[in-house]
Amino acid sequence: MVKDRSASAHILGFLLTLMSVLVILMVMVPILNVFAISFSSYEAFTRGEVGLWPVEWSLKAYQRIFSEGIIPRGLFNSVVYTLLGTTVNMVLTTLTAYPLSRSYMPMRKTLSAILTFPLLFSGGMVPTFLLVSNLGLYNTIWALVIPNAIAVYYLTVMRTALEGIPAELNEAATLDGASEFMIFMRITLPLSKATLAAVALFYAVGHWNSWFDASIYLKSSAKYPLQLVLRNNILSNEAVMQTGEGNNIGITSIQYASLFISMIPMMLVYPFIQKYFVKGVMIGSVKG
Amino acid sequence: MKKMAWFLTLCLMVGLAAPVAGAESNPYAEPVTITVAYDSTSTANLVPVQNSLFDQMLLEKFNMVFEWEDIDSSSYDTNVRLQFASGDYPDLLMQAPEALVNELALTGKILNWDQYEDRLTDYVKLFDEKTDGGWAGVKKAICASDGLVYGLPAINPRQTARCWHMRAGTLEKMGLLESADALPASVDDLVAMLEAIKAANPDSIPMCPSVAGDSVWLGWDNAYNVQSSYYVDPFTGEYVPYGPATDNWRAMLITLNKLYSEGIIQQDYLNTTADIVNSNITNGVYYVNFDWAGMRTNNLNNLNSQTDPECGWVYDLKMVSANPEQGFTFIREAPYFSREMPAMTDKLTDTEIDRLLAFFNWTATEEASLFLSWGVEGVTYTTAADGNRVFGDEFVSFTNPSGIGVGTYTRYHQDAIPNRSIDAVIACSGTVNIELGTSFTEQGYGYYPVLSFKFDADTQEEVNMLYTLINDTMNEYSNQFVMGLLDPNDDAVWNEYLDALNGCGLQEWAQYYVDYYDANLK
Repeated sequence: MVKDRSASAHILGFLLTLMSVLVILMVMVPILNVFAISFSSYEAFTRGEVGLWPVEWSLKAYQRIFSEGIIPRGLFNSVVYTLLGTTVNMVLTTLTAYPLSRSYMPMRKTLSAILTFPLLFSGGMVPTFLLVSNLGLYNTIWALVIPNAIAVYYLTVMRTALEGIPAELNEAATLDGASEFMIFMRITLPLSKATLAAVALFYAVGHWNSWFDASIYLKSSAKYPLQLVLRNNILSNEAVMQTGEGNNIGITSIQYASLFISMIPMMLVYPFIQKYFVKGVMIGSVKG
Repeated sequence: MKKMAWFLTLCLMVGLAAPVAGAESNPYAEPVTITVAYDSTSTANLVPVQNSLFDQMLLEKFNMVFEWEDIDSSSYDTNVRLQFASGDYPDLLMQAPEALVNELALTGKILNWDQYEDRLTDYVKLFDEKTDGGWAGVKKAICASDGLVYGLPAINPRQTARCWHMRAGTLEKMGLLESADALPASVDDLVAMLEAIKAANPDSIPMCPSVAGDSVWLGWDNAYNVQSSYYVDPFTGEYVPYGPATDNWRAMLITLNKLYSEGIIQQDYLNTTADIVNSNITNGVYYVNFDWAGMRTNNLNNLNSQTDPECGWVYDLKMVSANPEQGFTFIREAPYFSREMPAMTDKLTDTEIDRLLAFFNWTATEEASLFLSWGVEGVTYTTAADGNRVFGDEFVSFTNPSGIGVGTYTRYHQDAIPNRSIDAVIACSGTVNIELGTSFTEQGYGYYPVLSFKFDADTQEEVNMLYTLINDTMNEYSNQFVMGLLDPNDDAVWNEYLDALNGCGLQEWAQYYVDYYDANLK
């Protein structure tokens, strides 16, 4: 590859680097601040001494969190919901996208149109709640998994990516006696790793961050995911502060510690799938 | 043989009669299980324990079991509405807010308490004895649009909860206050003191914003004898349809504008968060505060003492007035709490209703007051040598505000207890909540009577919609007046503000309330 060494190229490179640094700072500074506050004493925080590094190191907030069990339980629930939900999402999405990507599939266009309709319209909260309740899913993990089993947007991305796999490969496999399922498992999926990783990440992040469905479909607080626990914690503490009957000493530290704990899993997982994510995020947008 | 047969027959009759006789003497022989949607919270120190003292008491006294569905406060309304919409709703709602209960009453699925009043004699008697208007007055205030009561309120043991706080220790050292008893009584004196503080400490922001994010005019509205909506003037008895459209409101905004321009009010008060306020309190930025009494005073001292051990925040048992000759006022709370009420649904059987009525009537007794306020002796509290009760070290109290709430064991939040004991209030919040009301009343302060308007569903929807527009416009203009973006002294600008309010339907909105007031509340 021939590098452009002109002055304008250098200037552009410098500006792009500067912008990247600014974006990184915009993202990292709040994270570092949350980290610093969670590991600082509340007194140092109220004195306004905490910036990007802990002052008067203290583990009180984390001790309180892990001793009470609500947040660790929420963390465990979130991990379970994310793993199970993402698995169901990926299995159903890929099994739906594959036949839709085959040009010889009968009524392909009609089925695609039917599947696209929910992108524009939805039944609403009450009808959906009635459906979930009547199916016996209320207060079960499946209420968080089954109603959102396939996201049509990601289905479309997946289908487009699978359409990009040369049909000749499938023909060659068919000539060698492979069934459709074998082609799907042995040829299509391995060639779609980038897309699969990207879509799986999107689904996983969606499950990790979701709280609303849990708030209406789960009545047992022992089943709440971490984000719902955090949300409820923050709102409850605000209410306590407003009545003046409580005292917010330590509450802020606990909130920030909870926030930091909720960030850790995604921060640990992302570096390992980053390369797939970078490749996969563009696949659905470029054809041929 | 014949004698033996008679004897056996007699024994059989006695044996069959025994359970019947036993049932008559024990009205709670049949166990009852009730499904309950409970407004819970995920704040760690308030999460109810399973098989709590309450559950044990319920089983022992009433042979009743509550199957709890703990729904977090933040999603309680949504969850309950969805359950009612789906038809899968519980037998009983606990700690449900008045607005939700009255809304669900329109579905016909909530039972009204009026039909069972003769079985709630202790409850009715409690309100007759402890409130000015009695049970009839409270019913009128909390009833739904059909005039019936669908939730059971609790007594509010305090008259008011907010007051002025001053950093008396520091102000005395600065020579700006003779003593903690010599707090300003007039707005002019208060403004002069704030200006003197600013002059002595230019980096300070003498007036502390509310931690709860209330309006900047909190406390000042009362000083200027005006409220931010409708009210009855305590001095004239005249009904005022809308306070922010009056000259008193304008006078208040002029003063606040002056304070803002002098840096006495926080310049970014609209965006200030609780963390920023607490940080500024810690660093001694503020000197005067109007906020919740009780633990707030404690909180101010705890935070500020880190940098100023002699800050000496105190609460004022007097109010401030722009016209001391006319008199002083305070904002009196309703004599009841209606934000955490029980409500029975039509899923209950007659036996279950009977049992619940017995239970709820019991909650109005002294025995229940002790249990729900304090818990169980030896478990949640002890009795000291002087006879006073003391909460256990781990429980919330005035000196341990972040302790475990007793409600985790008794299942009743403090404002839901029908007859919360005064000594429990004092143990948790200090004496100020009780002292304030007593002090203001003894000093002959006027107060704004609590007005309760009951409209039918359509009218309520209309007034709600109008009020949203009116209130948003009022806030927008009032904050601009305070911040100097608009000049409150300029008649043309003030008239433009009034025209904007009228354009939002102020006259129409006010007329609904005037008509109702004249017909029902005058």
